Amino acid sequence: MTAGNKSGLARLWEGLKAFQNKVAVGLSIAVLFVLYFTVFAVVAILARLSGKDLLHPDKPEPGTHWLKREPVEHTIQAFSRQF
Amino acid sequence: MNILGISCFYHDASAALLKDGVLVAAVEEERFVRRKHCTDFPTGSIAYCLQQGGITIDQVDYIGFYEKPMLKFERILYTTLATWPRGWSSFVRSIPLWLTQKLQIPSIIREKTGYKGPILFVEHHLAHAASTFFVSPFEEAAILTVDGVGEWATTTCGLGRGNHLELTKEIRFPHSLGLLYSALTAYLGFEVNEGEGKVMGLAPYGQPVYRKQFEDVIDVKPDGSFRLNLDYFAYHYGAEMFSPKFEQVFGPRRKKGEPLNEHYNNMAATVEAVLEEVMLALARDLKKTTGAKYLCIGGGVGLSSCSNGRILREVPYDDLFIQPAAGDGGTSVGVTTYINTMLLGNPRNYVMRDAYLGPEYSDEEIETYLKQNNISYTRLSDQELIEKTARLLTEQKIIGWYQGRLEFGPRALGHRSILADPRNPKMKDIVNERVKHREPFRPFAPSALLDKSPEFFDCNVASPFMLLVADVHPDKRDRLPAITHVDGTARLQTVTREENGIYYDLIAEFDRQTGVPVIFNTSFNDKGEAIVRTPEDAYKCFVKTGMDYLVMGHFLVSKDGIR
Repeated sequence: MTAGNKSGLARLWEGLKAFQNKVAVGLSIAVLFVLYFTVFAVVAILARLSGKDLLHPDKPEPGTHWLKREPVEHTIQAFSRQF
Repeated sequence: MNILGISCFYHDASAALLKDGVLVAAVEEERFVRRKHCTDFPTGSIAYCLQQGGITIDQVDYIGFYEKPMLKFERILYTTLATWPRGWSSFVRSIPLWLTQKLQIPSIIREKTGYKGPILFVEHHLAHAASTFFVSPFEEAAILTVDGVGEWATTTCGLGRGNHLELTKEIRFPHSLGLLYSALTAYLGFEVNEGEGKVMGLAPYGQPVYRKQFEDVIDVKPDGSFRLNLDYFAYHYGAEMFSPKFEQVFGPRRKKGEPLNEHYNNMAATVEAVLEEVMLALARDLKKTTGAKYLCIGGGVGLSSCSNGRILREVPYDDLFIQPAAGDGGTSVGVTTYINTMLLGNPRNYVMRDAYLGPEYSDEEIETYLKQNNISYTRLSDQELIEKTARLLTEQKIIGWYQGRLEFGPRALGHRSILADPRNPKMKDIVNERVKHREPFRPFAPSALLDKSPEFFDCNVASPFMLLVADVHPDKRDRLPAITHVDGTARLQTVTREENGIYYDLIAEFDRQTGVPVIFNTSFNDKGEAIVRTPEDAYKCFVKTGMDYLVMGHFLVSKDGIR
């Protein structure tokens, strides 16, 4: 196999990879689109119909915008969690 | 006990190593990849921290991460639902990143480092709070953290005492002082997370004439708590920071590169006035509720040196502490101190008195670099180096000054600095034109001997991290025209021999030669670049800009020698 053939194959492989990436991005967008306009749509509409303000689930006391923080459990176990 | 802290995947990625309670290394990843505000996993920073600590990854007892990813993801999902269907563009941009990266933190850490031990997740604002209080010199202090957003919180306050800190209340996303300031940064045509300092520099050129209209943008209570009118903003659902309504009320945004005018100056002045007003109210209320003598500030808004200066002058705290990397870069330090003190119960035995926590290159390494690249140089003794550099400054030369360990945080504090004579009224323009290529309205900062700084500046406390803006005494402004901003202020760094060594000696020698204990100090980088780390970075920056001399360790390199 000559160097020219190798570089041709390499170019073909690069092209295939770029195409594959574009397909993957396109598929991701399609899946997210379906998710966003079905599952998220239903939950968002139900939340609105039930009067829930998801950006402000907790209300402050009158006269302030501060919210009280929940006490933190200072243990290794609590901090091992990602939530 | 070795604890490694990591911050990444948002902005200002960094790593820090706490060894037996002592912070031995902390550095931002941008210094390794030379890309400002780099978000990448901090591979270079971690390798450096381990090397500096003289340990391997197997000897790390805990790794701490600077936020709780699932809580942040919860906020993203709630916001997506609350803003549906306007949030589509934001959703489609963020979710793939979350699925492939931000929800895989433990496996990414293990894969990139080979670490097998426990990984702990410290809530973002707790990390900010710990990054300031636990390394402060105070036994007890009020704590205020203010930034763009962490998981949900954008502002928190509480009290630190001894080995314990507690944040008691918070303001949550989407109400954020940091994001308000960033929205105005975008409106003024600057880059978000980069141009906030430019807005601060622009503000003194205008007047806060839109303060009344801003009452509809932000509601501030007497206790400093605030709530934004979301009709003006778009950051919670789209790619833009502000909504069309903002432009309807305040006029069109400034396009990038478009000339600034009085209107934009006034908008900068207004948002700066709002920020300072809120920060003052928060600090006052915290003083009232805690009675603390001292205040520790964390979070990116802590880099707002104008509001810090006003808090110090106008609220009766005895002193403030803000660590040099108050933004997200500093949370890697915060997670290590939080784990060490709060979770493991170890005593606090470290105070951050200087910011010199990054890599250092010895004279031998510098000389090897110079020789290998056939760069002519002169080797000088300590005394010769100081006398010669001070004389060159008086001869109006611009000098790249590269000494010791790299600074942690965004400010160059005399280890990776470009120095000049502050007495020359043209020096600001000269440095801007020949070296820094920055917007002409932005001020440059002074480094002053701590013991003599009150003679020139209205500041009676130390400002080692250049995070306080102080008035230059009116009768001294003519003597320091290159570092005095248009409103008569300067962002001051105070310097002591104990913490700054040779840099102190240089300023003292400049004082001996000129009668002025102050020099002009700006970061060692060109526009858009991260601050230099290695001798090679420094030399390349020196060659491509208009600096006259480069002082690296004990070596003096002249531009004449390489022309």
